[in-house]
Amino acid sequence: MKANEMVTVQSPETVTVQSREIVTVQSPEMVYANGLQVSYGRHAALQDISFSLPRGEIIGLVGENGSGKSTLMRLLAGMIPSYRGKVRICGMTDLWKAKKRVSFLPAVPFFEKEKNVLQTIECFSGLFPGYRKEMVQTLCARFGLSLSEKLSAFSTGRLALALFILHISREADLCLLDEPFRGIDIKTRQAMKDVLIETVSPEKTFLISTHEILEMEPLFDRIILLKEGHLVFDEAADSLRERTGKAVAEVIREAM
Amino acid sequence: METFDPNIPLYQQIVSLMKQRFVSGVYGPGMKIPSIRELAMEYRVTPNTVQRALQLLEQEGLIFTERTNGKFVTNDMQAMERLRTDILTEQVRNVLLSLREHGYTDEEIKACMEEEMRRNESK
Repeated sequence: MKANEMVTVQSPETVTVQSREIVTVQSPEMVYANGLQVSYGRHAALQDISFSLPRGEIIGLVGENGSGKSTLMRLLAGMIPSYRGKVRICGMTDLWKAKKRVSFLPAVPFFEKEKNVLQTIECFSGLFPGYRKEMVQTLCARFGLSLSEKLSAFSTGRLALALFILHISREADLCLLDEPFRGIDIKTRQAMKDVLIETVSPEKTFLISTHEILEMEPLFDRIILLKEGHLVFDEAADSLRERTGKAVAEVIREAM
Repeated sequence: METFDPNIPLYQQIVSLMKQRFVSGVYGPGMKIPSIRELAMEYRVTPNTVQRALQLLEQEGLIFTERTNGKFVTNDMQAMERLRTDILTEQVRNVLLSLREHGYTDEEIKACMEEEMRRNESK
């Protein structure tokens, strides 16, 4: 774009240059949601949820079981076709298209237990363009995870770590992790936290749901609290601490 | 490994930890400090938290950024002296406040301080 070309900004996502060249500008936030509503029959799983997820942040999604955390994650993962309200991921309103920029590790992960890590890498490489094979191998070597043993033979903790590594090695801008630390021993949790911090970049956003708030607090730039399908707050962690003089876990406990 | 006080903003705690390293000489004057990523991994906090802490340290004139080379501790000896004095004053103030609240007199505090110093000297 030359300095003397006239530019008309139509929306945050597209810029039309006088020479009729349309350039897509990176939207400032990773996720923009406004008035989201999801109902299963008469049960309103999400009610009027509005928030923005900035790029480059690790965001904790907190709330009791049934508060709508998993529903929100699945919606962002493009798995819920019928919802009301507006949502944009990486500036895209078509969530199906946005899927390739989003990785999702559900609470009960799907994986083929008869396969080993190497075979799973092959499978993922076929499914996901730009899959980082070397990253998986390096991380598995670091934590002593076997590449050749069947996943069904892994202990709970090591399986969780392996799946975590397999998913985090995807070329995704938005990483959704639904309760990745649940039922995992401390040593494995520590390993996962370290990998997470190493993988963070200004272009990526992590949305992680968890119940272990006190332990995970230092890992979160921002906290979103859901209660019975409503958004209670969406605030930067340090801002919460500065404002209330309390730990995030305490603020959450009081809000619930 | 650090355990953080969850009631206080993390970036402030990182600032304190870094200041401690400046004063104790772990990061001496003019020395290059590790990258945001390395510090985040070491402290086990998010890179954004580290970035905010470093911004504050830069505002306070304790570190400076050399565009392509990274961040360095200041060479300004006066700034470092001020930091040393500030940290000492703050910690002494906190201890005095706490002990006085416990009901100890200044004479008792002073005597105990001197005794402890003597004890450590003979080690």
